[in-house]
Amino acid sequence: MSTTTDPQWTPDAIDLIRDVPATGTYTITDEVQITDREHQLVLNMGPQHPSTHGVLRVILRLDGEVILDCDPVIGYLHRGVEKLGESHRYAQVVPWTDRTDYVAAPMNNLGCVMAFEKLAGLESPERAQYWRVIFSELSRIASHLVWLGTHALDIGALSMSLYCFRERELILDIFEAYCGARLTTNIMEIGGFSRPIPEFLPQQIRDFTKIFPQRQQEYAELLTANPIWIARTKDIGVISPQAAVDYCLTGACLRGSGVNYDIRKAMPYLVYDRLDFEVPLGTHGDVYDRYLVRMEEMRQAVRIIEQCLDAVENMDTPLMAYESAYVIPPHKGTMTTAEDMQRHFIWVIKGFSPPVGEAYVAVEHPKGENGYYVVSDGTSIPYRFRIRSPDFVNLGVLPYVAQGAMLADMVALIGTIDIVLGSVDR
Amino acid sequence: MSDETTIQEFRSAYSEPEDIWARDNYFHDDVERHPAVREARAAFGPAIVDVVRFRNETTIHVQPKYYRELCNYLRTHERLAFVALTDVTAVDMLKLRTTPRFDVVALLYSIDNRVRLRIKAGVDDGEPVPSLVPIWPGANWLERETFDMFGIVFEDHPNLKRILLADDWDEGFPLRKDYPLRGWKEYPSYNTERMVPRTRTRWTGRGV
Amino acid sequence: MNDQPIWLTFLVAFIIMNVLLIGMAYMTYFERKVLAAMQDRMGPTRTGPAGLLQPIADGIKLLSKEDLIPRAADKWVFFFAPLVVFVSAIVTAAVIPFGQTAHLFGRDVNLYATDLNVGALFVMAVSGIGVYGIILGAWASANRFSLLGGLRAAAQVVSYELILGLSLAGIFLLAGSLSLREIVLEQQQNLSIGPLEIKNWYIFSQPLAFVIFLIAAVAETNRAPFDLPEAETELISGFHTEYSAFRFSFYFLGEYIAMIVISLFASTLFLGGPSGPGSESHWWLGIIYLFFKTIIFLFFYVWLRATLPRFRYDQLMGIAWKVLFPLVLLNLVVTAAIRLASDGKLF
Repeated sequence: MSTTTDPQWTPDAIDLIRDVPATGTYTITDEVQITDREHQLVLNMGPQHPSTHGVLRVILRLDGEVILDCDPVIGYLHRGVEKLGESHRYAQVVPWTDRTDYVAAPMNNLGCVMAFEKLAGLESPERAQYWRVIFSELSRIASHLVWLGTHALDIGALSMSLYCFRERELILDIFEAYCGARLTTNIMEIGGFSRPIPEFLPQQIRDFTKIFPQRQQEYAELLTANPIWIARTKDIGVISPQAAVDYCLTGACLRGSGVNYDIRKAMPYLVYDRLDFEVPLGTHGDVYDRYLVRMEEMRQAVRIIEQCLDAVENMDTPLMAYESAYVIPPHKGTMTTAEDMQRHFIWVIKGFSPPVGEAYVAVEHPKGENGYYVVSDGTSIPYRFRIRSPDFVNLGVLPYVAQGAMLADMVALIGTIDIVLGSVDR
Repeated sequence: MSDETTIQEFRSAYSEPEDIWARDNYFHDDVERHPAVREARAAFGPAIVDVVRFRNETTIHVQPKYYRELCNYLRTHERLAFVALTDVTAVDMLKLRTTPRFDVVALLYSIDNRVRLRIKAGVDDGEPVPSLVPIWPGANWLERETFDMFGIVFEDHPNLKRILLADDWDEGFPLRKDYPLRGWKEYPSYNTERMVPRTRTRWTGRGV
Repeated sequence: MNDQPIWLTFLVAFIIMNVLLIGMAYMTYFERKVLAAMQDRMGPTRTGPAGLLQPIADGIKLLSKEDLIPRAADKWVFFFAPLVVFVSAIVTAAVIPFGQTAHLFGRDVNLYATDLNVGALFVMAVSGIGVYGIILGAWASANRFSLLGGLRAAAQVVSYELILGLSLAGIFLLAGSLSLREIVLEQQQNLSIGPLEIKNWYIFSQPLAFVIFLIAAVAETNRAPFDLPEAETELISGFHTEYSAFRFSFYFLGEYIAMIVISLFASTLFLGGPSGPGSESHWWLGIIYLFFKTIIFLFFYVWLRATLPRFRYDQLMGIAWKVLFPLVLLNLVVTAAIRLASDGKLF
């Protein structure tokens, strides 16, 4: 065949591109080893492929339908957010984080903003913390809905994606009601929230939390007990707890293997230590377990949102830590008094300069641990701005789990890791 | 000497010895009481260059030679159990100090103790650092990214090549502090005619 | 069966073909609307009233698009492969009876193009040829995704063709004929079970065969959840990845006509074809019955697509050989034994 003589992808070329750690813990099964190279096919999946969730490219070495080897190639969406972060003032960096994982933008803001706050040594007011939890849990549901829809679509359940996006629309409406933007919201600010929460917003969120569990039950009925779904996901992509830790996995990929590590419980931030919720754990570490874990996380997120709403509904404390010099001065006075306008102007033009030091803050992103490591040299621009994106690290496990899987499992595996290429490539 | 101090001395002399593994010690004002610091100093001695505490985060500076050994020691230690590697990255210290140029940063996490620990190894340009891949296979991509962005060479890494940038990227390492924001090269802009001529700016030294 | 001039047969065949083509066009409309209703959407609404002109717009779009041929493609095979699929799908409709005989314009007109005495075998044989179009097109595209899709199609069709054929063998035993017209006539008899008297539709006497036939028919036409050869999310629509414009539309036509024909075939074999109350006296009533019976099957196809995830290749083969094949053999043996016993030849 003409394609097999293509010089670029001869079977020998794969040796140059294979990305398998020398001391990996996996072994290639015997039936895979007996096949000779003459009958192998190198298949280039992506970067334009419907189920690589963006511009992921995976080079596969196949024997029939069995994957012998796989090499993910990333970087097609690399925009140098870290470099940009090192050339903007602190408050200007926050919107950039929206563009990394754009399906759960508030979560990215949260990690970034909290890292800056930690560096500056300020704390947002209690009410703002509750609202941050509400927005971040909403974005967790939104992210999981996108994951569920696309993951099910990859496996062939066509309708699922449309159902999921229907519910996600309600969440985006809530974001829009607060800040006017739907996708890249830039909802969190250093110090809390500078814009007041609209009066109708708690009710709108309550409407959503009332509807959503029923809808989610419908999805669960469509998939959880579906024999085809189970056949496609059970015992596929099994990651042992030891391997999950060794491959630095976080989030549902780690908890699906039964390792109990949720930052919200392990090192509670914001007001998570006051909230009552559970962390679901898987038992086998396969695709199905990770599916169940994420479904349960959505249910828990609804619980968290309801508790937070109960707490904040009658709270009348400020939303912004205005007493700190690191926080943008209130916009209200700028129209009337010269001093306020000058303060505001200076803050906007010059930014603020946190003390010399470094801080790492991680939040439990829907995809795993989203960490922000910021080094300050005492100027108003971060000296080093590092995003530890969860899907970048989680995607590294793909060559390990794809060994010996079928080609059709590949899409299930990519789906179960739950990647957004904006966040992988940053 | 006041009464209070004598009472405290009395108490410390006769009460039960304090639990040196208590969780409070990880966040105690005296950084030397941090169990990981204590154990690392005991095991590695002079290889520990410095210990820093800022905003309740502990950083151990270690000589690059012992970087992997220290990580492995902390990982296999029974009580510390820093089994999880959270992040590997680097900081270009060009504007902050003269030598060494880079800090390689590994962030460890102990699932049992729920504590983070940052390990830093200062390396000069071109000086190799032992790779963490033999310990954590997941460090593979993180170290590749660090190599990609800073040009730090990791020894024993199975596949050290560019990951986010293109394989044939020949412009150096973008997250170094001497790398301009817009890169070294002029790239042709397609289908656009620049109406305003480029002027050199103070910040980047290049046209904006 | 009455003799009729050859031009009349051609006329009937011409009408059947055009009805099929239009039916195919509106099958896509039907599918999109039903799918939309199931997925909480609107479906096509903009072209014509309620989007009724959408299939025509689609057809014009497909015909007026650029015809791309990959440089590495095997051109002649690439040209002819879609035609194989299309022709084999449409030829099968020749033996489907839409009724017996109608009296029109002073003539007796047969409501079928031809009545082969091996009609059922003909349907399966010709639809088996259709897979050559898929394999050849996949191979000729010089695309690895297509190649994998073609290989999947070959394995799948070979397995399910067998099961499809064997599931019908019980009917042939009961009917004593392979002619579809005779099978329809046979089903117009009454079957009396004790005091109850029902139509002798083979869905009642061959329920297991009916279920197996349905499964095999879905696999045979490469539809969800057995749409592995063209799995959009794994193989980027598999064998027709490289096809565009009207070549793609031939594949598309072939697939949908195959669906319609297999639905017609199923309603002929299991639901009595055009038979129903009053169909003996009014031939047009029979056609309406057949239409609605076919719609049931087509709806079933769409329903499956909206609901179920896709099987994996090895699971599909496992179902064929480990589950369906023993069942269909069991059905055949039991049917044969009953048939012999009723003739008094068994003991």
